Amino acid sequence: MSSCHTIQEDPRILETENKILLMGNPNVGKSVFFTELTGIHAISSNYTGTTVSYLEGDLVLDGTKYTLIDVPGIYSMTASSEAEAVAVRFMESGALAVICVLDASNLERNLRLGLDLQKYGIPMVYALNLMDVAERHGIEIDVDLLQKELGWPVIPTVVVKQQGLDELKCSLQSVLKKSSQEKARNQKLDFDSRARAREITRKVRKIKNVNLSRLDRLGESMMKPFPGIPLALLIMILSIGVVVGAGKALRAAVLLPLVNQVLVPFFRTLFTSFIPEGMLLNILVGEYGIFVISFEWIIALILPYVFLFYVVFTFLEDSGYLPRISVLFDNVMRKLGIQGGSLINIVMGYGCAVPAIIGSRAASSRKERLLISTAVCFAVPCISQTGALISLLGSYSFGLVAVMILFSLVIMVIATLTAGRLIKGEVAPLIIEVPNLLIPEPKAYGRKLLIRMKHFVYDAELPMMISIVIAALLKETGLLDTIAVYAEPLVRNWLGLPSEAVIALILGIVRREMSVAPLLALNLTPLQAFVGATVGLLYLPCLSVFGILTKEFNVKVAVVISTGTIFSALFFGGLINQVAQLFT
Amino acid sequence: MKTIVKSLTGRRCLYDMQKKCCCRVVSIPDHPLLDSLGICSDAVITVENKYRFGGPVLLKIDTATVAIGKDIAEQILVEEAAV
Repeated sequence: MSSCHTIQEDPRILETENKILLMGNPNVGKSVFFTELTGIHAISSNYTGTTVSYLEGDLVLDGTKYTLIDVPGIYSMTASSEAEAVAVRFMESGALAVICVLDASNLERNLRLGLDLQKYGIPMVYALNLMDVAERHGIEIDVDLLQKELGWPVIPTVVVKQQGLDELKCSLQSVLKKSSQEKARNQKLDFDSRARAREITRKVRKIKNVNLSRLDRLGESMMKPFPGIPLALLIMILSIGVVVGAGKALRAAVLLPLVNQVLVPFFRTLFTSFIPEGMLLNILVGEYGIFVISFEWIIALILPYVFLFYVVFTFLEDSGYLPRISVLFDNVMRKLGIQGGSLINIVMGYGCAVPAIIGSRAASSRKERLLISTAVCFAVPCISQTGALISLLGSYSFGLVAVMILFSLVIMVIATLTAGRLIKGEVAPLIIEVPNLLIPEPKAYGRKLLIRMKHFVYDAELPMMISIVIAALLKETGLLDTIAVYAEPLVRNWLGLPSEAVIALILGIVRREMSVAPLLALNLTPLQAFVGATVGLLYLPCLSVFGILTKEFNVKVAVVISTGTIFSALFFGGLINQVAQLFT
Repeated sequence: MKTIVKSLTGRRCLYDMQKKCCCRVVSIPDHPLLDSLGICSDAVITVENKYRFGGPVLLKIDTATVAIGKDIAEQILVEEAAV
């Protein structure tokens, strides 16, 4: 299977002389090792394919600086996928050492790669990770014997609990010292890795019969159609409930009072004290003033939902639950022309479309990537927009929120089926390893949540502020009223919205949630709110998504998807309004 | 091209095997990921679960759990093995 995506590597990185490679099968904890060893926060998950490109960072050992490279997870060195080809290139370019991470709970298969890597004659240290999971499953490994069989140090680790890291660094240091004196070892390199891995595993591993833990039993139950499917639906409803319910509570109890009673009055008092009344003051603290709507929209409207979405999503991701829904719903996804594994990317799209589209690099073909991107761009609102949609529709009734969720699913089906017919190519069937169900380690979980929130603030801040400045200028200079007159046939006659709603269509180009946020202040009827929400949901996925579509595919794909979304937004929004008018 | 092998001297396609059945792999289609995940000739695997309406089969291979889509499972030839 060859991946449709080419991982671009900087040729200079291959020439770096002091590099140490971090390698292993997918989902063995390499990204956590990378974070612990370099201090650079890499996002890791309990499923395969999180690192779809390589990462580099500085590793300092005894005052000497090395370049540590987190190579994408691979199963073999056959160069049969782009990730494997990258790994081969790194190994062939030479490295001072390799840290090979092995999964102690799945030793034989991990050893195959571990032995394949020995054939390159580069000094190695093995990190025997997930020792806690192995122990839970009654797996005992004779580490000393394993070290003897492999001929290189083997360090037992539980990296999420920072266990074994100091020993790993010490071993790495001594291996580096020795290798600088003796250079490469003279090893017999013509063994059959598969047979040798099996032989070593038989020698060093014992599996005791242990009763399955409660967590393992739950993990198994979640994989059975019953109770797996009802449980999946329950988890989905609970997740939405937590994000919507707790988000609304956080907004009402903390954030709205903070914005309306503290922040906005403070800046109003501050600016009115030295700026005379007029356009400048209005732009800063007027109805649509920068220091009014930036707090109202970003802090009170979007932030609580973004935070709670990531609380829930990160938990599901780190627990290893997401691959389970991929398996349970593979048959449904097949009917849409994509395989169950794509569901993880689509769920990720509910956070932000950008990582979802990048994450689809792990897909087996260009067609599959395009189908995932189409589903995400057409029918999956990002979390900021979801927050805005919940605020808009939830103020009328939760029934409207439920109808909007169902409507988005219908649009996803239509968009994916249509794209599936139009795009040539094949979608490979599901092949996925199901990880152990884990309770996320609090420290790693908290750190990941923090990284995600930081990324959100850094990535979204500038485009949000641009939207807010545009909104303030349009409104306070009177330009909006002029545009509204020209847009009246579309906005008022076809969509049935007030003329000022045109601002949502303008700002929605920059940020997705901005196609909904301005509607909150317009005192809409429930029908108008639903039509506005429909247009916002289906509207152009923001400029960042346009950029990533261009980068990952090409301009043509970005233009086709953007045109399609704008057309469908205006068409379906208008259709709902026109049909509803017939009955009123 | 999909070929569904129903019965050939005790050999059947993986997709037709019953739940909890332990089997030995006889042949696999050309797909590098299968071999990498331990689904290779002579490997002993257990069918843990099957999913209706064209869903995948869930396999236990050594200590790992792997799900294989219908289209691939139909091309893997196996024979029953003693537990």
